[in-house]
Amino acid sequence: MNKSVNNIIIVGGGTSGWISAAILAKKFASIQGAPKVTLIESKSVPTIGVGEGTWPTMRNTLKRIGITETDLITQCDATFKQASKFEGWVTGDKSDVYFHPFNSTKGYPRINLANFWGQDSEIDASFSRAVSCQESLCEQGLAPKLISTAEYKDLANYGYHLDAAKFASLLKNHCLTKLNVKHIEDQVVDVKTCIAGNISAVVTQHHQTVHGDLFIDCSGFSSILLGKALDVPFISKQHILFNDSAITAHVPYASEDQSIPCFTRSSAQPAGWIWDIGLPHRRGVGYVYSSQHCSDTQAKKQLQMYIGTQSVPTEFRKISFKAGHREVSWKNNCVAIGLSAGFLEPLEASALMFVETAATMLADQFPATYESMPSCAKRFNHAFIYRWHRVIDFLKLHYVLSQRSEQYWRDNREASSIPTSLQALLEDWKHMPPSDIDFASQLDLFRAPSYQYVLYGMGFKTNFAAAKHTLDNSELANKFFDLRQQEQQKLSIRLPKHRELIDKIHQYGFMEI
Amino acid sequence: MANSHIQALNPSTHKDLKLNVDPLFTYTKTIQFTPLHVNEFAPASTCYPIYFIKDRATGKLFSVALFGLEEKENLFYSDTQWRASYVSESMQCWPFTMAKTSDNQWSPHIDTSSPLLSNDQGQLLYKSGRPSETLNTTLQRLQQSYQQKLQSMAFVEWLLELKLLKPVRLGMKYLSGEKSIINGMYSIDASALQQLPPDALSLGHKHGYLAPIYALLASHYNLYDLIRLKKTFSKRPISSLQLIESE
Repeated sequence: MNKSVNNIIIVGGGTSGWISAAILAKKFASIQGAPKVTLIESKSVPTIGVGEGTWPTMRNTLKRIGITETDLITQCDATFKQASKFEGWVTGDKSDVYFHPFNSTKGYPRINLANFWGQDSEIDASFSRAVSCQESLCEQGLAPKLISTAEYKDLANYGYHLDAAKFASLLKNHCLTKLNVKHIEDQVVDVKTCIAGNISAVVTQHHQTVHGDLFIDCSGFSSILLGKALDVPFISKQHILFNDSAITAHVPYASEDQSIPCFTRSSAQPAGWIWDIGLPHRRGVGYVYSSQHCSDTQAKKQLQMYIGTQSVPTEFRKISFKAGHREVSWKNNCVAIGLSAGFLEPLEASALMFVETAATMLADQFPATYESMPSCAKRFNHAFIYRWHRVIDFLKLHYVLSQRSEQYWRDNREASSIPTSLQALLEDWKHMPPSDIDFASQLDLFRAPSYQYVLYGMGFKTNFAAAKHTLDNSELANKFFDLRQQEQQKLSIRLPKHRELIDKIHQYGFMEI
Repeated sequence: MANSHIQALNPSTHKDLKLNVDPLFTYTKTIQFTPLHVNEFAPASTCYPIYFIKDRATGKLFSVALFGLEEKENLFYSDTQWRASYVSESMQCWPFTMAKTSDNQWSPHIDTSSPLLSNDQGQLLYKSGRPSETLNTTLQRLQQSYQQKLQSMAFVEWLLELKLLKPVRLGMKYLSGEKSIINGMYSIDASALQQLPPDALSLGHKHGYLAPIYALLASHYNLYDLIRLKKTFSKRPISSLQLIESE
C-alpha cells in the first residue's frame, strides 16, 4: 500500500505530546505538502508533572523549535542545572558525597584522563574535581554563563530545572500560535483499527472521529494506543530497578534572595533516594522508593525529616509507577513517545531526554509512505530497545556500588538483580577504566565520562597500576589538567551567582547572538 | 549606577566644584573602548574601527570606537597629543555623562573622582547657584547626546530584529610568536545585509540607518591603523591580525 503519510495525530498533551508536536511541526514548517500535525488532549486528564530536570540536550531541542531561552527561564520558572550531587549513596556518612557534572572530563574525547588520574596520587583524590571545574562552580553557587552570553551558549555545560506544568503550556502556546499545530480538546474514548492492524482513527467524546495516517501515543502511563489498542506488552524491569513510588512536595525558601543550588541534590535514603531541585520561588523535592521496602507513611515521614522543621512543605502528592518499557515503541502506524513507551525512575533525569531523542529521530527519519513505515519502525525500535537496555544498566550502577546496609540496598546488590551486561562491564572496568571502546554505538546516551563520574565518585577500584602501559601521552594529559585548573580560576572570577543571573534574565533577557 | 563616584548633578552639592580642561583625555589612558552614538559613525569611521559590545551588567549591545587590541589598551592616547582627529561626544562631555537615577530617570551626572574636578583651580561649575556658560553648553550637549543614545538603541534593535549582527573574532599574532584571540565584539553581517528584502532596506533607508551601516563596515579598515600604532608604540608589538570566520 503506497499511501503517503499526510496526517499525524498525537494523542495526549503533556510535555511529551507538545515536544513531539513542536519538533514535527517545526521540521515540516517550510516544506510544501508536508504532513499536518494534530494534537488531541483531554481537559480532564491531569499531567504527571514529574521530571522537573532536563539534560543539556534540551537547549538544542528548544533552539530547534524556536523557543527563546529567555521565554523558557521567565515563563517556566526555570533555573540552570550543571550537575547531580549524590549524597550518602556509598556509606551514608556525612562526608559521603560525589558530583556527576554535565561537563565531560577535560580533553574528552581526545584523551581519557581517568587513566592518568588513577596513576597519580598527587592529583585531587576526587575524580570529578580532578577532571572538571564544574564541581567547584556548583559548590560556589555560580551560574554556568553570563548575562552577555548568547542564548543557549554556555561557559559551563548545563540543562534546566523547571516547572513541568508551565513548560507544557509554553510548548503548547508555541505550537498553536507559531507552528500551526491543530488542537482538539476532547477525550479519546475509542480507537479504530483496520484489518492490517493499523490504527485508522480515534473516536473522541464530543467531536467527530479523527482519522490519521500516523498516530503518536503520548497518553502517559495508560498507553491507550500502543499498549491498549495494539496490545504491545509491557516489559517490567522492577526486578532490576525496585523503585515504584514517589512522594513529592513543594518547599518554600526561607527568604526571597536565598541562593539557588545549580545542581540536583540526590540524597540516598533507607529505601530509595530524595531529589531536591531549586526553582526561583520554591524547591521541588520527592522521595522515590520501593513499596516492597517502605510503606507510604514511612516514606512521607522520611521526606518530612529531610525537609526539616524550618520550612513548611505544601502540595504533597503520591505517584505510583512501574519500571519498564513496552516491548517495542513503534508498531504498525503507531509510535509511543514518553511514559506510554516506558518509564524508569528519574535518577538521571532521562525521561524528557528520551522524549526529545524519540521525537527528533521520528522527525529526521519520517516515513513518507506506508510502504516505508516497517523499515522506519524497525530502525526506531532497534535504537530504543538498545537505549532502554543501556540506561537501565547505568541507573543500576548507582545501586550496585553502594555499601549501605539497609535491606533495600542489600537486595539491590543481589547478583540476580544485576543485568549480566552490567556485570560484564564491571568486570572489565576492574582492569581498565571505561573508555570509548565500551560505548562504540552512536545510540549510546551515557558515555565513558558519565560512567567514570559514578564509578570513581563511588570509590570503585580499577587496577590502574596494571593499565600503566596504556599511558602514551602524559604531556597532553598534563596540558588538560592545567587547562582545567586555569578554567576554574577564570570562571570563578567571571561567573555571577546563580540567582543573580536568573534575576537578570527576568530583567533584561538573553541576546540571540 | 553601581559606581558611587557617579553622582547626579546638583547645584547645592556641587556648588564649589571647579572644572579643568584636559586636551589629552587622560581618563581614557587604560580604556579600550568608548561609547559611540549612531550619528557619530560617519566622522568616527575616519579614525577608529567601530563595533558593538555587550554591557556587562545587562548583556545589551551598544556601539563603541575601538582604541586598543587588548584589555586596557588605548593606542590613541599619548602624553603629548591625542592620536586621532575625531573625538567622540562622550569624551568631550566627560566628566559629565547621562546616567539613570534611582527612580530610573535619565539625568546629567558627574564623575566626582575625575582629576579634572577640584575645589581649588579651574572654572566654577555654578555661579551663584546658576550653571556657568561652559556647564550650560555641556548640559545641552548631554541632552542631545541622550537623544542620540535613544536613536542608537532603536538602531541596535532594528539590526537585531533583521538578524544583521554577528559575533566577530580577531586572531592576533605577536612578534614573539604568541597568539591571542579578541572576543566579545559584534559587527554588521555584510552578506546578511546583501540578502535583505527591498522593503526592509527601504525602511532602513527611511530611518537613516544605511549611511551608518556602511560607515561601520568601512571603519574596520582602521584596524590597519591600530596594527601600525601597536607596532610603533606598544611594548608587545604584533606581526598580524586576522578576522576569524565564525564557527
